[in-house]
Amino acid sequence: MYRYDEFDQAFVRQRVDEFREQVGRRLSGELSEEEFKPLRLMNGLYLQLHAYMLRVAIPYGTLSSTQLRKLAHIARTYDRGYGHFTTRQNIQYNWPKLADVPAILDELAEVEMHAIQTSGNCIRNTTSDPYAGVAADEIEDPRVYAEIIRQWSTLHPEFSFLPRKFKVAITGSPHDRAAIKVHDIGLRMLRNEAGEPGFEVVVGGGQGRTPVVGETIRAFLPKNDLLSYLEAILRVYNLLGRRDNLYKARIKILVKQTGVEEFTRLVEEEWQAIRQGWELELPDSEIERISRYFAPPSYGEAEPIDFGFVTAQRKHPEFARWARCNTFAHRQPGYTIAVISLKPEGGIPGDATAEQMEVVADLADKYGFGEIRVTHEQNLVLPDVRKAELLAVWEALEAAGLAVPNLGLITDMIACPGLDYCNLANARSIPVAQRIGQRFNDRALVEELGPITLNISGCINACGHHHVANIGILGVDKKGKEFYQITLGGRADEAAAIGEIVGPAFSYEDVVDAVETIVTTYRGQRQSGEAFLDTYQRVGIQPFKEKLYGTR
Amino acid sequence: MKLQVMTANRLSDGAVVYLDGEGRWTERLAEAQVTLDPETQSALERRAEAAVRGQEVVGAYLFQVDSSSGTPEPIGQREIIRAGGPSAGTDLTPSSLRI
Amino acid sequence: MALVKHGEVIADPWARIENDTLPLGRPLLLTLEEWQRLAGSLRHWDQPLGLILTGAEPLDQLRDSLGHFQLIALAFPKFTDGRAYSQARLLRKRYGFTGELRAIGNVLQDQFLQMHRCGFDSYEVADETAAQAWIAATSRYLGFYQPSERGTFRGARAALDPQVFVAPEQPAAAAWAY
Repeated sequence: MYRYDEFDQAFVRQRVDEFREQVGRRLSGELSEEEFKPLRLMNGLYLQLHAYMLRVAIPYGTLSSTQLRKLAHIARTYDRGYGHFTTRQNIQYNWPKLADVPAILDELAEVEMHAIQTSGNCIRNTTSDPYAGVAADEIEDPRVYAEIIRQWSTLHPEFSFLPRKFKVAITGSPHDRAAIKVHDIGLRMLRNEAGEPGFEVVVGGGQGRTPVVGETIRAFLPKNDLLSYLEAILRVYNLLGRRDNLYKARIKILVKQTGVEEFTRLVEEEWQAIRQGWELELPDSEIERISRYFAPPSYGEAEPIDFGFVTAQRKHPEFARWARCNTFAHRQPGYTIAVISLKPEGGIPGDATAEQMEVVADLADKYGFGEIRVTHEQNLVLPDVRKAELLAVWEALEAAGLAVPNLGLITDMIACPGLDYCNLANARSIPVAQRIGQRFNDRALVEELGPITLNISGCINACGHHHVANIGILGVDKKGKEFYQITLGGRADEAAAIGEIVGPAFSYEDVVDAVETIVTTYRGQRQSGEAFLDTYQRVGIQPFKEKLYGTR
Repeated sequence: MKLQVMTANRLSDGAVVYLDGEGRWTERLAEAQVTLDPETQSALERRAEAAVRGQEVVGAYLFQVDSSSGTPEPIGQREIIRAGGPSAGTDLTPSSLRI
Repeated sequence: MALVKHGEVIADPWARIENDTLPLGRPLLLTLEEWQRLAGSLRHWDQPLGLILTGAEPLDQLRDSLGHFQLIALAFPKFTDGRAYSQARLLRKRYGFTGELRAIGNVLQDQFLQMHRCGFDSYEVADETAAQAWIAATSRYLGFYQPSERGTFRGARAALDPQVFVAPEQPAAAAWAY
């Protein structure tokens, strides 16, 4: 993985010093809250309902065991013993004190981490495929480019006061596990006719109040042009994006209002102008330099068939279920990608205690190469587990309450913090997720239902990705009471689609029954081998409406 | 007329606080000054503004409560959660669910 | 109001048109509307001219006029309105403007560094203590990840890092070395 050199280390330290001085000026009264707010946001610090919240970047979802132990230490020392893994490969602490934040940032800098640009109207943490570098279906490791984008976007002098926040996602596989089509810029690696790898550039996707699937503005961008092209898009947006209305300020609105053809023309024109004189070509030498950090570890001898693994699955049906549900094909024979679900039945999606983080860090050292991944679905990943050692991993996870076999299943919910913590929320998300987890607590049944994504957002900002869930739940406020609107048929992958509203919202009390009705309807309608989304696409929304609201 | 209470978040740690009858900020809603009187409400606003200028609190505003039970109770879900803390949280998880 | 330039508070020599009267003998700062209205009658103006831009002007249409101006003032209507950062870089890089670039409007010390890096030279600020803040802001970081108008670029640190990112020209190296 990427390691800071002395430049990166000094830079992050200088940023901490700058923020420490800004916090000092706020506490002394030299800065008003209005002036301080954009400064603290640019360092990931929010003021939420009950306390400050600090969002720490986990660039492209890659962590070392040392970093994860540091996150546990921060949770224990400065917070209440836990952290919350977010829907964009970050971790949030819910209870830091303002005066402690510079010290937390110092601790993070010790392990090459930071909170730079995890909020604010700037370029946010670039997210990527959590299986990058180990997935069997990958063209190239997208983290190389995510790291290059991280560096290019960090304290960019021109793009720190954009009309609105700006999110970039990148995937290196044809199967999109980074939801690139619902980002301000989505980059998908592909090969051109000559077999050279490059990027498809998708712009103007997003969720929130106006959900949009992004449009391709360039079918193939050579790798060396990555930064000049990004700079062209950002400059067009910075100059022309709307600043008069918060809700119309994202790039997706500019693309819609300008028209994708005209927007593309503006970007291409700006790009040509940049290429004529600016020093933004990304040379092969730099790509190679960054690539070396992401070189695969030495996996050793392959074990083509591991009979121990087969026997263990026969002997332990629960292990077998977990191995079926929570592993993913590794590019290296004899290895597997093991996903640690942070969605125990009745638990809080994405939360991990300091002790759990330490268990995972120890497992990454003992049964991997000291690396952990964080997914935007709020789970953790051990990317390099020998199949022969998977049983031992499962046993350790089971002992820590972390062996929940539900990856990609209905209880593997994405949920934002909602009204329990968030200042923007209209309704709670967490208790709804907990109640759904409790309702669907039969693991055999959950597995039998097959892949279903169920995502919950506590407000229209859609941090819980409800628009792109097979079953999406959006919390709304009706006269001080919590209600939940349900959408069906959304998806976040390469065939991204926005879900369709099924009908009037359900009360807090009724929403879990409504989910069960949807699931029952699916079971009644499905044909052999059909996943929820297949059935939905075949039968449409009507049967679900009828069961939920009666035949009117 | 509406019964109102003045609330804000404390600058140092973001904690939810309420103005009491002595002009002090308290973390307990039960201790807050509850008032129907527009002049008292204006006085609370003036005190809150001074506290904002004095780097004591952030984002002060009046909100509506119901006092029919004898103690002030928030009406909307947002203020209920601000007053009572998160209704769910890992820090609140029963120890049986912790490792 | 104070004017900060190169880390010092200086007197502002520039004057505006007031009550339809030209400030004879002083450098004249014009809005775009004034310039478009008066360009003809200013043909024999013997003092420097400056232009105020507010963020919305398409710079490529002004390209041919830029040579008339020794100063361009870019307005920040709110400090959160970042269009002038792009305008500054375009003026410097694409349109080759070498005169003074001034930040006016809601100019705060926490944005000095970005403005400096985008090519600004002078800053109209609320109070004089900002001069000290400007020096602190522009000397805190030893280098940056992006090539920009000013500030040491990571890729230029050949001595530290033999694998040079790109070999940029250092057009503003002198300006950086305050």
